[in-house]
Amino acid sequence: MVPCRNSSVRQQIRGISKSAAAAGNAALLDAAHTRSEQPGVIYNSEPLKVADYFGIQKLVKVKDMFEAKVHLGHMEGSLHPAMKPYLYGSRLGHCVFDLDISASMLRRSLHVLANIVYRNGVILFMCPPSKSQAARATEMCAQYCNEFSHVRHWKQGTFTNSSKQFGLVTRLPDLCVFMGTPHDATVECAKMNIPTLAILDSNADPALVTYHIPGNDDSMSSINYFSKVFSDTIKIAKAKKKEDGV
Amino acid sequence: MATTMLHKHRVSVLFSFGRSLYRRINVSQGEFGLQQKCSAYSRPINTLSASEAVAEIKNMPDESRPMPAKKPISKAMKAYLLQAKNYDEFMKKQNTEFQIGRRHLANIMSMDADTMTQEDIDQAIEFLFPSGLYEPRARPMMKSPELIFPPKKAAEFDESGRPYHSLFYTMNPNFYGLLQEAVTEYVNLNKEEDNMIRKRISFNSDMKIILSGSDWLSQEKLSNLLIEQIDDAQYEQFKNVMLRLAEHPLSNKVKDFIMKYRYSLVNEAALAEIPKPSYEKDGRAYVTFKGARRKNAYADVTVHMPGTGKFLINDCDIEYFQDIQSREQITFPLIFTALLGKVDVTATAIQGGTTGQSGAVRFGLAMALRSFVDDKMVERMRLAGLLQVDWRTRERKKPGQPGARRKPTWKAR
Repeated sequence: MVPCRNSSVRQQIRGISKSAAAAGNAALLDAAHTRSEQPGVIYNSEPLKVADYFGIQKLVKVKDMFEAKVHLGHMEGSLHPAMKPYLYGSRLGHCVFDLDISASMLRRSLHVLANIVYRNGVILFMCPPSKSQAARATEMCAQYCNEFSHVRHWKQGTFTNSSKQFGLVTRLPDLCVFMGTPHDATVECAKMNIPTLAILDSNADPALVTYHIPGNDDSMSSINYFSKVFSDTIKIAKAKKKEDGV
Repeated sequence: MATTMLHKHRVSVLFSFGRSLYRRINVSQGEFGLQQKCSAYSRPINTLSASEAVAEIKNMPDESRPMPAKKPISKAMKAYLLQAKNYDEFMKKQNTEFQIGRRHLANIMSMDADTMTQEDIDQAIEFLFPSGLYEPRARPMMKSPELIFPPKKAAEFDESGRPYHSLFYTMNPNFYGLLQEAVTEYVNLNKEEDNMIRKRISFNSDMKIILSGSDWLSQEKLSNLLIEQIDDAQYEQFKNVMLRLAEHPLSNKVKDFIMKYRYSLVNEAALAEIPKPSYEKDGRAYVTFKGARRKNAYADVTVHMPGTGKFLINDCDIEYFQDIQSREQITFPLIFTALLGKVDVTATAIQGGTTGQSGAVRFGLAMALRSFVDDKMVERMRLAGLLQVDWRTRERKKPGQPGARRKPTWKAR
């Protein structure tokens, strides 16, 4: 193993994730955002005040991720520089993700996902048409939790020109979950201010993605793991919404 | 006075007719395509009438004055309701115009407007506005607006704008839903196959679907079935996915699903009505097939069973045809069904030449012989092309050239 040197982000996130798990208070969780906190965001809603309102943090276990081969990346040569902070190192020429970072980023992503579902958001699961092995798992995942999926050829302007494309004013999704990148839709999501959540392999460009989940997006075991975690989270959030009568 | 009235009526009918023709042309050029697209993956509106739509519009929350907090209606739903209202009003107007035009037409033709059917209208229009245009859709017509304007789609989302279909954002939810269903069937078959291998059950050819005798629905038919516009690439994808499913060793289990998207090549109606043989006084069975044709020739053929292989064509024996090819033609169905020498054939052939007459007799004979062979042989005859009418006729000679297609030899000068 060749550990990654000089990765402040990694140290930061690792430290926070550990302490967040230990203390579990809202202040530390807020600090877990890698980006600086946006001014004007009011944390007045109950699910936002409590660190783990939906109880979804326990869904993510590093052991499960390891068993699902989430840590395996691509060859060193195809590494995207922006993905370097998320790596543990390389083995036999292949990048290996640091699952502690991945788990903490996945927890944060699930938190976002659950909160959007809690507020009646529309979730769209996507995977690029070239990643045909993930297509069925993605569609089934969306159907299982009564959400939406798009795993086919992406028509330019589906979001940016939606009223023409659909023939009527159309409500766009409130969160797009990418089961693999690159995808043409990331650009359109960015243009339309739709937050995105993506599984990013070591060769992926994270620039246009809002919430990163570093991990293997090619193996079926990994895809199935992520599908399960996402659909479980949505189911939990929907149940909680029903319980609270929102 | 009466003449003026009639004249006035005629003018107004012409006017209203002219407008509807104009509309029709409009439809065929742009609107039609657009509305086709709109009507993709949709059910026709049958739940929301104009009055209901208007009522819903009235009940919509107005931004200017605060309404009591009810269920919020999304922008998408508002736009849809507005569109539905406009469409309803448009159709209402069209319908009124059509009814007026219909009454005028009934007056002109001195018919009763209430009992006038669409057929009467078509006949009247053909009489009043004779048209030599080749394309029937380009000729003048007067039809109920429901038949001219395609139905609009009902809303595909609820009040909050949340779509109903999981694949809504693909813009072809029905088509991609079909592909998804096919893959689900395939996965299930694979599981069954694994089970069979585990239990060491052997496979046989009956477990695989037989695709001969049927073909995939055409792109247009599939589009109509799914109420969605399907492009060439998608149609290719459909065929690939379905073929993959059909080639699975256990594909007969999903026969119903596959056959929904195939059509039969056999004209079952024509083949189903194989006539039962009648009987002569001497007890011989016979079947007559009338109006067999080939080129310009027609033939009536009667087959008697049992027989000795006699031919009686226009009161001559087989020597009625002097060339060998024609004789081969008329004996071929008998050789094919192994009935040569076992039946007697009586035929009358009129018009046409030797080839035409012999071809007509051959077809009539083959059709008549169906009554004396079993179903398997009928299927074999169909595959051999014996039961297929040959509709080809001679192409006419064109002026300015020596033949139908042949051009004069080109000379430099």
